[in-house]
Amino acid sequence: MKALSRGRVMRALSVVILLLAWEIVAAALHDRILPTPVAVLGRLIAEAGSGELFRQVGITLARVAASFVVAMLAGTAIGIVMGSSRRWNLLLDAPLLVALNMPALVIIILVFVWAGLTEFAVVLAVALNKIPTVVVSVREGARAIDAELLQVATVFGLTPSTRFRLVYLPQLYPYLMAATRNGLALIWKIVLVAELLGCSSGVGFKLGVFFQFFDIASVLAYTAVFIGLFALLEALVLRPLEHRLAGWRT
Amino acid sequence: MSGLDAVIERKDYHVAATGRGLTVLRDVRLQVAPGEFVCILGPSGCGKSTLLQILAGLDDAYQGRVSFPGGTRPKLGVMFQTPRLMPWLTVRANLDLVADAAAAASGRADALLRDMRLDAFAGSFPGRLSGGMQRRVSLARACLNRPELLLLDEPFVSLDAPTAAELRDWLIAEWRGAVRQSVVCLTHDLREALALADRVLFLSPRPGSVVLEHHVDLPRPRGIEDAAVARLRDTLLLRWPNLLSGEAASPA
Repeated sequence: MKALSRGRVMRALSVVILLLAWEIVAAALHDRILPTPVAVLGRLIAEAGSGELFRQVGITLARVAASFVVAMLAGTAIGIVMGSSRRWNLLLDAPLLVALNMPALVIIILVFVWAGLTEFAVVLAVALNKIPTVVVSVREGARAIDAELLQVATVFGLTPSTRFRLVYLPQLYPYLMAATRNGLALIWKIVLVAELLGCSSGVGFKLGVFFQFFDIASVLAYTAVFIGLFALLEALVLRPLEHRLAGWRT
Repeated sequence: MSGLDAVIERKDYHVAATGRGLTVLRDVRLQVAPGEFVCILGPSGCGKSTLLQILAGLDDAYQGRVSFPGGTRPKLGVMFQTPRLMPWLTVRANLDLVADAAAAASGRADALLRDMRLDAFAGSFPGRLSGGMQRRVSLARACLNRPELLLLDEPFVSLDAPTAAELRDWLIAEWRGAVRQSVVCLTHDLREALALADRVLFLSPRPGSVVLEHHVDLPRPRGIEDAAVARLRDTLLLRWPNLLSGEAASPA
Protein backbone atom coordinates (compact mmCIF):
# COMPACT_ATOMS: atom_id res chain seq x y z
CA MET A 1 0.00 0.00 0.00
CA LYS A 2 2.84 2.31 0.96
CA ALA A 3 4.71 1.43 -2.23
CA LEU A 4 1.54 2.09 -4.23
CA SER A 5 1.03 5.59 -2.85
CA ARG A 6 4.71 6.36 -3.31
CA GLY A 7 4.33 5.34 -6.94
CA ARG A 8 1.41 7.71 -7.37
CA VAL A 9 3.34 10.58 -5.81
CA MET A 10 6.26 9.92 -8.17
CA ARG A 11 3.96 9.91 -11.20
CA ALA A 12 2.28 13.15 -10.14
CA LEU A 13 5.68 14.68 -9.45
CA SER A 14 6.93 13.84 -12.95
CA VAL A 15 3.89 15.61 -14.48
CA VAL A 16 4.43 18.68 -12.28
CA ILE A 17 8.14 18.81 -13.23
CA LEU A 18 7.26 18.54 -16.92
CA LEU A 19 4.71 21.38 -16.66
CA LEU A 20 7.15 23.55 -14.69
CA ALA A 21 9.94 23.00 -17.25
CA TRP A 22 7.51 23.84 -20.05
CA GLU A 23 6.38 27.02 -18.23
CA ILE A 24 9.98 28.16 -17.65
CA VAL A 25 11.13 27.51 -21.22
CA ALA A 26 8.00 29.09 -22.73
CA ALA A 27 8.28 32.14 -20.50
CA ALA A 28 11.96 32.54 -21.41
CA LEU A 29 11.30 32.21 -25.16
CA HIS A 30 8.26 34.46 -25.03
CA ASP A 31 7.27 33.40 -28.55
CA ARG A 32 3.87 32.29 -29.94
CA ILE A 33 5.45 29.06 -31.29
CA LEU A 34 5.59 27.78 -27.70
CA PRO A 35 2.75 29.13 -25.54
CA THR A 36 2.88 28.60 -21.76
CA PRO A 37 0.75 25.89 -20.08
CA VAL A 38 -1.39 28.67 -18.60
CA ALA A 39 -2.07 30.07 -22.08
CA VAL A 40 -2.97 26.58 -23.34
CA LEU A 41 -5.32 26.13 -20.39
CA GLY A 42 -6.92 29.48 -21.26
CA ARG A 43 -7.58 28.33 -24.86
CA LEU A 44 -8.94 25.04 -23.56
CA ILE A 45 -11.42 26.82 -21.29
CA ALA A 46 -12.46 29.18 -24.10
CA GLU A 47 -13.01 26.31 -26.57
CA ALA A 48 -14.90 24.31 -23.97
CA GLY A 49 -17.00 27.32 -23.04
CA SER A 50 -18.14 27.82 -26.61
CA GLY A 51 -19.06 24.12 -26.92
CA GLU A 52 -16.79 23.76 -29.95
CA LEU A 53 -14.31 21.53 -28.11
CA PHE A 54 -16.95 19.00 -27.08
CA ARG A 55 -18.54 18.98 -30.54
CA GLN A 56 -15.28 18.35 -32.39
CA VAL A 57 -13.91 15.86 -29.84
CA GLY A 58 -17.26 14.03 -29.94
CA ILE A 59 -17.12 13.72 -33.74
CA THR A 60 -13.54 12.43 -33.65
CA LEU A 61 -14.27 9.98 -30.84
CA ALA A 62 -17.21 8.58 -32.81
CA ARG A 63 -14.90 7.98 -35.77
CA VAL A 64 -12.27 6.41 -33.49
CA ALA A 65 -14.90 4.10 -31.98
CA ALA A 66 -16.34 3.04 -35.35
CA SER A 67 -12.90 2.40 -36.85
CA PHE A 68 -11.79 0.51 -33.76
CA VAL A 69 -14.83 -1.79 -33.78
CA VAL A 70 -14.51 -2.50 -37.51
CA ALA A 71 -10.75 -3.12 -37.25
CA MET A 72 -11.03 -5.40 -34.21
CA LEU A 73 -13.89 -7.47 -35.64
CA ALA A 74 -12.35 -7.88 -39.08
CA GLY A 75 -8.81 -8.34 -37.74
CA THR A 76 -9.92 -10.92 -35.18
CA ALA A 77 -11.88 -12.92 -37.74
CA ILE A 78 -9.04 -12.92 -40.28
CA GLY A 79 -6.46 -13.64 -37.54
CA ILE A 80 -8.42 -16.66 -36.30
CA VAL A 81 -8.78 -18.01 -39.85
CA MET A 82 -5.06 -17.53 -40.59
CA GLY A 83 -3.95 -18.94 -37.24
CA SER A 84 -6.17 -22.01 -37.53
CA SER A 85 -5.64 -22.94 -41.17
CA ARG A 86 -2.29 -23.44 -42.85
CA ARG A 87 -3.87 -23.05 -46.27
CA TRP A 88 -5.53 -19.71 -45.46
CA ASN A 89 -2.34 -18.51 -43.82
CA LEU A 90 -0.34 -19.21 -46.98
CA LEU A 91 -3.01 -17.58 -49.11
CA LEU A 92 -3.28 -14.39 -47.05
CA ASP A 93 0.29 -14.00 -45.82
CA ALA A 94 1.55 -11.97 -48.79
CA PRO A 95 -1.41 -9.52 -48.79
CA LEU A 96 -0.91 -9.15 -45.02
CA LEU A 97 2.75 -8.28 -45.50
CA VAL A 98 1.82 -5.66 -48.11
CA ALA A 99 -0.86 -4.19 -45.84
CA LEU A 100 1.51 -4.07 -42.86
CA ASN A 101 4.09 -2.12 -44.82
CA MET A 102 1.72 0.22 -46.63
CA PRO A 103 2.16 3.77 -45.24
CA ALA A 104 -0.95 4.99 -43.41
CA LEU A 105 -1.03 8.12 -45.53
CA VAL A 106 -1.10 6.12 -48.77
CA ILE A 107 -4.05 4.03 -47.57
CA ILE A 108 -5.93 7.18 -46.54
CA ILE A 109 -5.28 8.90 -49.89
CA LEU A 110 -6.29 5.82 -51.90
CA VAL A 111 -9.50 5.26 -49.93
CA PHE A 112 -10.47 8.94 -50.27
CA VAL A 113 -9.83 8.77 -54.01
CA TRP A 114 -11.74 5.53 -54.47
CA ALA A 115 -14.58 6.00 -51.95
CA GLY A 116 -14.91 9.80 -51.83
CA LEU A 117 -14.66 12.17 -48.89
CA THR A 118 -17.36 10.46 -46.82
CA GLU A 119 -17.70 9.26 -43.23
CA PHE A 120 -17.62 5.70 -44.55
CA ALA A 121 -14.29 6.42 -46.26
CA VAL A 122 -12.77 7.85 -43.06
CA VAL A 123 -13.76 4.81 -41.00
CA LEU A 124 -12.64 2.43 -43.75
CA ALA A 125 -9.29 4.15 -44.24
CA VAL A 126 -8.50 4.11 -40.53
CA ALA A 127 -9.73 0.53 -40.05
CA LEU A 128 -7.65 -0.67 -43.01
CA ASN A 129 -4.58 0.80 -41.34
CA LYS A 130 -5.25 -1.06 -38.12
CA ILE A 131 -6.56 -4.43 -39.36
CA PRO A 132 -3.13 -5.90 -40.28
CA THR A 133 -1.68 -5.40 -36.80
CA VAL A 134 -4.78 -6.96 -35.20
CA VAL A 135 -4.45 -9.91 -37.61
CA VAL A 136 -0.80 -10.47 -36.66
CA SER A 137 -1.59 -10.42 -32.93
CA VAL A 138 -4.69 -12.64 -33.13
CA ARG A 139 -2.99 -15.07 -35.53
CA GLU A 140 -0.33 -15.68 -32.87
CA GLY A 141 -3.09 -16.29 -30.34
CA ALA A 142 -4.94 -18.69 -32.62
CA ARG A 143 -1.73 -20.64 -33.21
CA ALA A 144 -1.25 -20.98 -29.46
CA ILE A 145 -4.75 -22.37 -28.83
CA ASP A 146 -4.59 -25.47 -26.62
CA ALA A 147 -6.11 -28.28 -28.69
CA GLU A 148 -6.45 -30.44 -25.59
CA LEU A 149 -8.91 -27.99 -24.06
CA LEU A 150 -10.93 -28.00 -27.28
CA GLN A 151 -11.08 -31.80 -26.98
CA VAL A 152 -12.73 -31.35 -23.59
CA ALA A 153 -15.40 -29.23 -25.30
CA THR A 154 -15.86 -31.96 -27.90
CA VAL A 155 -16.25 -34.94 -25.59
CA PHE A 156 -18.69 -33.12 -23.34
CA GLY A 157 -20.75 -32.01 -26.34
CA LEU A 158 -20.54 -28.23 -25.80
CA THR A 159 -22.49 -26.13 -28.28
CA PRO A 160 -20.36 -24.19 -30.83
CA SER A 161 -21.33 -20.93 -29.13
CA THR A 162 -20.31 -22.10 -25.62
CA ARG A 163 -17.15 -23.65 -27.01
CA PHE A 164 -16.19 -20.36 -28.66
CA ARG A 165 -17.10 -18.08 -25.72
CA LEU A 166 -15.80 -20.12 -22.80
CA VAL A 167 -13.06 -22.34 -24.22
CA TYR A 168 -11.65 -20.68 -27.34
CA LEU A 169 -11.98 -16.93 -26.79
CA PRO A 170 -10.46 -16.81 -23.27
CA GLN A 171 -7.24 -18.19 -24.77
CA LEU A 172 -7.20 -15.22 -27.15
CA TYR A 173 -7.81 -12.55 -24.49
CA PRO A 174 -4.14 -11.63 -23.89
CA TYR A 175 -3.66 -11.17 -27.63
CA LEU A 176 -6.91 -9.22 -27.99
CA MET A 177 -5.97 -6.96 -25.09
CA ALA A 178 -2.58 -6.25 -26.67
CA ALA A 179 -4.30 -5.48 -29.99
CA THR A 180 -6.81 -3.22 -28.21
CA ARG A 181 -4.13 -1.20 -26.42
CA ASN A 182 -1.96 -0.73 -29.48
CA GLY A 183 -5.07 -0.22 -31.58
CA LEU A 184 -6.52 2.67 -29.64
CA ALA A 185 -3.18 4.48 -29.53
CA LEU A 186 -2.70 4.02 -33.27
CA ILE A 187 -6.27 4.65 -34.38
CA TRP A 188 -6.76 8.07 -32.82
CA LYS A 189 -3.55 9.28 -34.39
CA ILE A 190 -4.59 8.02 -37.83
CA VAL A 191 -8.10 9.44 -37.47
CA LEU A 192 -6.58 12.90 -36.98
CA VAL A 193 -4.54 12.53 -40.18
CA ALA A 194 -7.62 11.40 -42.12
CA GLU A 195 -9.61 14.34 -40.74
CA LEU A 196 -6.83 16.73 -41.63
CA LEU A 197 -6.78 15.46 -45.19
CA GLY A 198 -10.41 14.95 -46.04
CA CYS A 199 -12.91 16.17 -43.44
CA SER A 200 -14.61 19.42 -42.57
CA SER A 201 -15.14 18.46 -38.94
CA GLY A 202 -13.35 16.74 -36.08
CA VAL A 203 -10.20 17.45 -34.13
CA GLY A 204 -7.92 16.76 -37.10
CA PHE A 205 -9.77 19.32 -39.20
CA LYS A 206 -9.59 21.86 -36.37
CA LEU A 207 -5.85 21.26 -35.95
CA GLY A 208 -5.40 22.02 -39.66
CA VAL A 209 -7.24 25.32 -39.25
CA PHE A 210 -5.21 26.24 -36.15
CA PHE A 211 -2.03 25.41 -38.05
CA GLN A 212 -3.00 27.80 -40.85
CA PHE A 213 -3.54 30.56 -38.28
CA PHE A 214 -0.41 29.56 -36.39
CA ASP A 215 -2.55 29.10 -33.27
CA ILE A 216 -0.24 26.74 -31.38
CA ALA A 217 -2.05 27.27 -28.06
CA SER A 218 -5.24 25.77 -29.55
CA VAL A 219 -3.28 22.90 -31.15
CA LEU A 220 -1.84 22.02 -27.75
CA ALA A 221 -5.20 22.49 -26.01
CA TYR A 222 -6.92 19.91 -28.26
CA THR A 223 -3.92 17.57 -27.98
CA ALA A 224 -4.06 17.76 -24.18
CA VAL A 225 -7.75 16.86 -24.20
CA PHE A 226 -7.08 13.78 -26.32
CA ILE A 227 -4.15 12.60 -24.23
CA GLY A 228 -6.27 13.08 -21.10
CA LEU A 229 -9.20 11.18 -22.58
CA PHE A 230 -7.11 8.17 -23.56
CA ALA A 231 -5.35 8.13 -20.19
CA LEU A 232 -8.81 8.01 -18.60
CA LEU A 233 -9.88 5.22 -20.95
CA GLU A 234 -6.80 3.23 -19.94
CA ALA A 235 -7.43 3.74 -16.23
CA LEU A 236 -11.22 3.37 -16.17
CA VAL A 237 -11.86 0.78 -18.90
CA LEU A 238 -8.80 -1.10 -20.13
CA ARG A 239 -7.06 -1.82 -16.82
CA PRO A 240 -10.25 -2.99 -15.03
CA LEU A 241 -11.17 -5.06 -18.10
CA GLU A 242 -7.74 -6.66 -18.19
CA HIS A 243 -7.91 -7.34 -14.47
CA ARG A 244 -11.29 -9.04 -14.95
CA LEU A 245 -10.19 -11.16 -17.90
CA ALA A 246 -6.80 -12.14 -16.50
CA GLY A 247 -7.71 -12.26 -12.80
CA TRP A 248 -7.19 -16.03 -12.75
CA ARG A 249 -3.48 -15.57 -13.46
CA THR A 250 -2.83 -13.68 -10.21
CA MET B 1 -27.98 -48.69 -22.33
CA SER B 2 -24.35 -48.47 -23.23
CA GLY B 3 -21.30 -50.56 -23.96
CA LEU B 4 -19.13 -50.57 -27.03
CA ASP B 5 -17.60 -52.78 -29.67
CA ALA B 6 -14.26 -51.64 -31.05
CA VAL B 7 -11.94 -53.21 -33.57
CA ILE B 8 -8.77 -51.20 -34.15
CA GLU B 9 -6.96 -52.99 -36.95
CA ARG B 10 -4.18 -50.45 -37.06
CA LYS B 11 -3.41 -47.00 -35.76
CA ASP B 12 -0.36 -45.23 -37.11
CA TYR B 13 1.22 -42.10 -35.76
CA HIS B 14 3.08 -39.79 -38.08
CA VAL B 15 6.46 -38.71 -36.69
CA ALA B 16 7.18 -35.26 -38.08
CA ALA B 17 10.91 -35.41 -37.35
CA THR B 18 11.54 -38.57 -39.38
CA GLY B 19 8.61 -38.27 -41.77
CA ARG B 20 7.79 -41.91 -41.06
CA GLY B 21 4.74 -43.62 -39.66
CA LEU B 22 4.83 -45.41 -36.34
CA THR B 23 2.28 -48.13 -35.61
CA VAL B 24 0.82 -47.50 -32.17
CA LEU B 25 -2.00 -50.05 -32.02
CA ARG B 26 -2.53 -53.27 -33.97
CA ASP B 27 -5.46 -55.68 -33.87
CA VAL B 28 -7.03 -54.40 -30.69
CA ARG B 29 -10.47 -55.88 -30.18
CA LEU B 30 -12.42 -54.48 -27.27
CA GLN B 31 -15.99 -55.27 -26.38
CA VAL B 32 -17.53 -53.73 -23.30
CA ALA B 33 -20.95 -54.91 -22.18
CA PRO B 34 -23.51 -52.46 -20.81
CA GLY B 35 -22.76 -51.98 -17.14
CA GLU B 36 -19.33 -53.58 -17.34
CA PHE B 37 -16.18 -52.17 -15.71
CA VAL B 38 -13.11 -52.89 -17.82
CA CYS B 39 -9.55 -51.97 -16.90
CA ILE B 40 -6.77 -51.83 -19.47
CA LEU B 41 -3.17 -52.35 -18.38
CA GLY B 42 -0.07 -51.98 -20.43
CA PRO B 43 3.50 -50.74 -20.30
CA SER B 44 4.21 -47.07 -20.82
CA GLY B 45 3.92 -46.01 -24.47
CA CYS B 46 1.86 -49.03 -25.54
CA GLY B 47 -0.95 -46.88 -26.91
CA LYS B 48 -3.42 -46.96 -23.99
CA SER B 49 -4.15 -43.23 -24.15
CA THR B 50 -4.39 -43.36 -27.94
CA LEU B 51 -6.98 -46.11 -27.59
CA LEU B 52 -8.94 -43.94 -25.17
CA GLN B 53 -8.80 -41.01 -27.63
CA ILE B 54 -10.23 -43.29 -30.32
CA LEU B 55 -13.01 -44.56 -28.05
CA ALA B 56 -13.85 -40.95 -27.11
CA GLY B 57 -14.23 -40.08 -30.78
CA LEU B 58 -11.31 -37.64 -30.70
CA ASP B 59 -9.14 -39.54 -33.18
CA ASP B 60 -10.62 -41.00 -36.33
CA ALA B 61 -7.36 -41.54 -38.25
CA TYR B 62 -7.22 -45.33 -37.73
CA GLN B 63 -8.21 -48.48 -39.57
CA GLY B 64 -11.10 -50.24 -37.92
CA ARG B 65 -14.38 -49.27 -36.34
CA VAL B 66 -15.93 -48.32 -33.03
CA SER B 67 -19.65 -48.96 -32.69
CA PHE B 68 -22.16 -48.62 -29.93
CA PRO B 69 -25.39 -50.49 -29.20
CA GLY B 70 -28.24 -48.61 -30.82
CA GLY B 71 -25.86 -47.06 -33.30
CA THR B 72 -25.54 -43.71 -31.59
CA ARG B 73 -22.63 -42.47 -29.52
CA PRO B 74 -23.58 -42.71 -25.82
CA LYS B 75 -23.39 -39.86 -23.36
CA LEU B 76 -19.68 -39.65 -22.58
CA GLY B 77 -17.70 -38.77 -19.50
CA VAL B 78 -13.93 -38.57 -19.96
CA MET B 79 -11.12 -38.05 -17.50
CA PHE B 80 -7.93 -37.39 -19.42
CA GLN B 81 -4.40 -38.19 -18.32
CA THR B 82 -3.90 -34.50 -17.43
CA PRO B 83 -6.74 -32.62 -15.70
CA ARG B 84 -7.46 -30.32 -18.68
CA LEU B 85 -9.44 -27.81 -16.62
CA MET B 86 -10.13 -24.36 -18.05
CA PRO B 87 -7.69 -22.22 -16.01
CA TRP B 88 -9.85 -19.08 -16.44
CA LEU B 89 -12.91 -20.71 -14.91
CA THR B 90 -13.37 -21.46 -11.22
CA VAL B 91 -13.67 -25.08 -10.11
CA ARG B 92 -17.44 -24.71 -9.93
CA ALA B 93 -17.62 -22.98 -13.33
CA ASN B 94 -15.54 -25.80 -14.85
CA LEU B 95 -18.26 -28.22 -13.77
CA ASP B 96 -21.07 -25.89 -14.84
CA LEU B 97 -19.44 -25.58 -18.27
CA VAL B 98 -20.14 -29.22 -19.13
CA ALA B 99 -23.26 -29.81 -17.01
CA ASP B 100 -26.32 -31.01 -18.91
CA ALA B 101 -29.82 -29.88 -17.94
CA ALA B 102 -30.39 -32.75 -15.50
CA ALA B 103 -27.09 -32.20 -13.69
CA ALA B 104 -27.67 -28.45 -13.52
CA ALA B 105 -31.21 -28.87 -12.14
CA SER B 106 -30.23 -31.43 -9.51
CA GLY B 107 -27.32 -29.46 -8.06
CA ARG B 108 -25.09 -32.45 -8.68
CA ALA B 109 -21.99 -30.30 -9.08
CA ASP B 110 -22.19 -29.27 -5.42
CA ALA B 111 -22.71 -32.86 -4.29
CA LEU B 112 -19.72 -34.06 -6.31
CA LEU B 113 -17.49 -31.29 -4.95
CA ARG B 114 -18.50 -32.35 -1.44
CA ASP B 115 -17.71 -35.99 -2.28
CA MET B 116 -14.32 -34.92 -3.60
CA ARG B 117 -13.79 -32.75 -0.49
CA LEU B 118 -13.40 -29.74 -2.71
CA ASP B 119 -16.48 -27.76 -1.71
CA ALA B 120 -14.27 -25.17 0.00
CA PHE B 121 -12.47 -24.63 -3.31
CA ALA B 122 -15.53 -24.23 -5.53
CA GLY B 123 -14.72 -20.56 -6.10
CA SER B 124 -10.99 -21.10 -6.67
CA PHE B 125 -9.23 -21.12 -10.00
CA PRO B 126 -7.55 -24.43 -10.91
CA GLY B 127 -4.10 -22.82 -10.84
CA ARG B 128 -4.52 -22.42 -7.06
CA LEU B 129 -5.12 -26.16 -6.60
CA SER B 130 -2.57 -28.95 -6.20
CA GLY B 131 -2.18 -31.50 -8.99
CA GLY B 132 -4.13 -34.08 -7.00
CA MET B 133 -6.98 -31.65 -6.36
CA GLN B 134 -7.14 -30.79 -10.05
CA ARG B 135 -7.42 -34.49 -10.86
CA ARG B 136 -10.32 -34.80 -8.44
CA VAL B 137 -12.10 -31.92 -10.18
CA SER B 138 -11.45 -33.67 -13.46
CA LEU B 139 -12.96 -36.91 -12.10
CA ALA B 140 -16.00 -34.99 -10.82
CA ARG B 141 -16.41 -33.39 -14.24
CA ALA B 142 -16.23 -36.78 -15.97
CA CYS B 143 -18.97 -38.20 -13.72
CA LEU B 144 -21.13 -35.05 -13.55
CA ASN B 145 -23.70 -35.91 -16.23
CA ARG B 146 -24.04 -39.58 -15.17
CA PRO B 147 -22.49 -40.68 -18.47
CA GLU B 148 -23.47 -43.97 -20.09
CA LEU B 149 -19.83 -44.54 -21.01
CA LEU B 150 -17.12 -43.37 -18.63
CA LEU B 151 -13.54 -43.30 -19.95
CA LEU B 152 -10.81 -42.83 -17.33
CA ASP B 153 -7.11 -42.40 -18.04
CA GLU B 154 -5.14 -43.30 -14.90
CA PRO B 155 -7.61 -41.54 -12.61
CA PHE B 156 -5.79 -42.10 -9.32
CA VAL B 157 -2.20 -41.82 -10.45
CA SER B 158 -0.95 -38.78 -8.56
CA LEU B 159 -3.12 -39.03 -5.46
CA ASP B 160 -1.92 -39.97 -2.01
CA ALA B 161 -2.80 -43.53 -0.98
CA PRO B 162 -5.69 -42.76 1.45
CA THR B 163 -7.34 -40.32 -1.00
CA ALA B 164 -6.90 -42.75 -3.88
CA ALA B 165 -8.47 -45.57 -1.83
CA GLU B 166 -11.38 -43.34 -0.85
CA LEU B 167 -11.97 -42.26 -4.45
CA ARG B 168 -11.77 -45.82 -5.75
CA ASP B 169 -14.56 -46.75 -3.33
CA TRP B 170 -16.45 -43.66 -4.41
CA LEU B 171 -16.08 -44.53 -8.08
CA ILE B 172 -17.34 -48.08 -7.55
CA ALA B 173 -20.35 -46.78 -5.58
CA GLU B 174 -21.03 -44.27 -8.35
CA TRP B 175 -20.77 -46.94 -11.03
CA ARG B 176 -23.02 -49.39 -9.19
CA GLY B 177 -25.52 -46.66 -8.48
CA ALA B 178 -25.77 -45.73 -12.15
CA VAL B 179 -28.06 -47.51 -14.59
CA ARG B 180 -25.79 -49.89 -16.50
CA GLN B 181 -22.95 -47.44 -16.90
CA SER B 182 -19.96 -48.88 -18.76
CA VAL B 183 -16.49 -47.92 -17.63
CA VAL B 184 -13.16 -48.21 -19.42
CA CYS B 185 -10.30 -47.37 -17.07
CA LEU B 186 -6.61 -47.24 -17.94
CA THR B 187 -4.12 -47.97 -15.22
CA HIS B 188 -0.59 -49.25 -14.75
CA ASP B 189 -1.35 -50.71 -11.33
CA LEU B 190 -2.38 -54.38 -11.47
CA ARG B 191 -3.80 -54.42 -7.93
CA GLU B 192 -5.89 -51.37 -8.74
CA ALA B 193 -7.20 -53.03 -11.89
CA LEU B 194 -8.07 -56.21 -9.99
CA ALA B 195 -9.80 -54.23 -7.24
CA LEU B 196 -11.92 -52.22 -9.67
CA ALA B 197 -12.66 -54.26 -12.77
CA ASP B 198 -14.97 -57.00 -13.93
CA ARG B 199 -12.42 -57.73 -16.63
CA VAL B 200 -8.80 -56.73 -17.17
CA LEU B 201 -7.14 -56.44 -20.58
CA PHE B 202 -3.36 -56.53 -20.84
CA LEU B 203 -1.72 -54.75 -23.77
CA SER B 204 1.63 -55.57 -25.34
CA PRO B 205 4.37 -52.94 -25.83
CA ARG B 206 4.00 -50.78 -28.94
CA PRO B 207 2.30 -51.57 -31.21
CA GLY B 208 -0.26 -52.34 -28.53
CA SER B 209 -2.46 -55.38 -28.91
CA VAL B 210 -4.35 -57.42 -26.34
CA VAL B 211 -2.13 -60.22 -25.04
CA LEU B 212 -4.34 -61.43 -22.22
CA GLU B 213 -7.86 -60.96 -20.98
CA HIS B 214 -8.76 -61.89 -17.42
CA HIS B 215 -12.21 -61.98 -15.82
CA VAL B 216 -12.00 -60.97 -12.18
CA ASP B 217 -14.30 -63.24 -10.19
CA LEU B 218 -13.56 -61.82 -6.76
CA PRO B 219 -16.64 -60.76 -4.81
CA ARG B 220 -17.30 -57.06 -4.28
CA PRO B 221 -16.64 -54.87 -2.39
CA ARG B 222 -12.92 -55.22 -2.96
CA GLY B 223 -10.04 -53.04 -1.86
CA ILE B 224 -6.60 -52.65 -3.32
CA GLU B 225 -5.09 -53.92 -0.04
CA ASP B 226 -7.37 -56.99 0.17
CA ALA B 227 -5.58 -60.32 0.58
CA ALA B 228 -7.71 -61.84 -2.20
CA VAL B 229 -6.59 -59.13 -4.61
CA ALA B 230 -2.94 -59.63 -3.62
CA ARG B 231 -3.30 -63.41 -4.07
CA LEU B 232 -4.82 -63.01 -7.51
CA ARG B 233 -2.06 -60.60 -8.51
CA ASP B 234 0.60 -63.05 -7.34
CA THR B 235 -1.09 -65.91 -9.17
CA LEU B 236 -1.20 -63.97 -12.41
CA LEU B 237 2.43 -62.84 -12.12
CA LEU B 238 3.55 -66.35 -11.23
CA ARG B 239 1.95 -67.67 -14.35
CA TRP B 240 2.99 -64.76 -16.59
CA PRO B 241 6.05 -63.17 -14.95
CA ASN B 242 6.40 -60.48 -17.63
CA LEU B 243 2.71 -59.60 -17.75
CA LEU B 244 3.28 -56.02 -16.60
CA SER B 245 5.77 -55.55 -19.44
CA GLY B 246 3.09 -56.66 -21.84
CA GLU B 247 4.22 -60.26 -22.37
CA ALA B 248 1.86 -63.14 -21.66
CA ALA B 249 4.12 -66.05 -22.52
CA SER B 250 4.19 -68.72 -19.80
CA PRO B 251 7.60 -69.75 -18.45
CA ALA B 252 8.83 -72.96 -19.97
